[in-house]
Amino acid sequence: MKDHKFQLIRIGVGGSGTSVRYTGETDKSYRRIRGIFVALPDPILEYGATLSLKVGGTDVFDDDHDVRLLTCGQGVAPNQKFFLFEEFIEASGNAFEGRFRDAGIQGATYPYEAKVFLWLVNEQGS
Amino acid sequence: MVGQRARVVSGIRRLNKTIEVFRPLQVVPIDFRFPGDVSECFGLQVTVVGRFPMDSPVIPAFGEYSLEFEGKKIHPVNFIVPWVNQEIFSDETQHRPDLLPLAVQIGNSRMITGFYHDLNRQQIGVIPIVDRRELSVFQPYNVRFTFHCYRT
Repeated sequence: MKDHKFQLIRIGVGGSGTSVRYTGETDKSYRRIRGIFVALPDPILEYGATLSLKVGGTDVFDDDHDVRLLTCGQGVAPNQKFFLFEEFIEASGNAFEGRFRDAGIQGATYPYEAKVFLWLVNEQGS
Repeated sequence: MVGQRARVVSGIRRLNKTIEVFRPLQVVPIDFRFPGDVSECFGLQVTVVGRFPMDSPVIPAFGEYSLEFEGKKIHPVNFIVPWVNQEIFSDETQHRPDLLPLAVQIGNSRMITGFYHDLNRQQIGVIPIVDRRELSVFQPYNVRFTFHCYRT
């Protein structure tokens, strides 16, 4: 059985100030969501952008959660980019949903794609 | 790394409270209540949400804040908030502010009170512009408090 998977969620943002709902299911071959990382195509989009996340009906991030807390600079190594969950969040095919909200920053280019990466693992304590 | 701890816990709530700042040197009161399923606040992240025409990659003390828990019985934090220029800052840590550790047990009173104080730093490191009148324009911004809490 594989131990790690990085599941990609693509969120298309059509215009300034747009709020986009996303839904999906985690890969059922993995037990736990270990971390999350959000990548935006331009750093100015990070000013004020928010992301909510609910997994299996439980709030992980509420509506006003700043994307800046879930992303990092380009110089960060791939294995250090993720915000790690210290609580156990079950993957195992669990449904997730959330909403990405663009802050409508002047100078940003639209449309763009926000990429949300979920780090899935099989060992509970990893 | 933010959120990383030695043990695995059953449930965490990350609660956000956003305030708006409209004037230089404004003091914005903070007054809200934690929801009933929160037992302990173990960390806090505070970020300035706004884009300003500055040359500096970071203004270390953009504002300051003070928070009291349990109906002003516990006063664990007086701290400053930096402003970080997302476009030109290259340091790896600055895109994701670290968690300020708190260990506040939440009892019967779930009130959080305090204030945020703008330190009027928007003119520090401003990119030179021709029209001097623009220098005096204060750009309103938000400050976002993210409380990391254990569920009961």
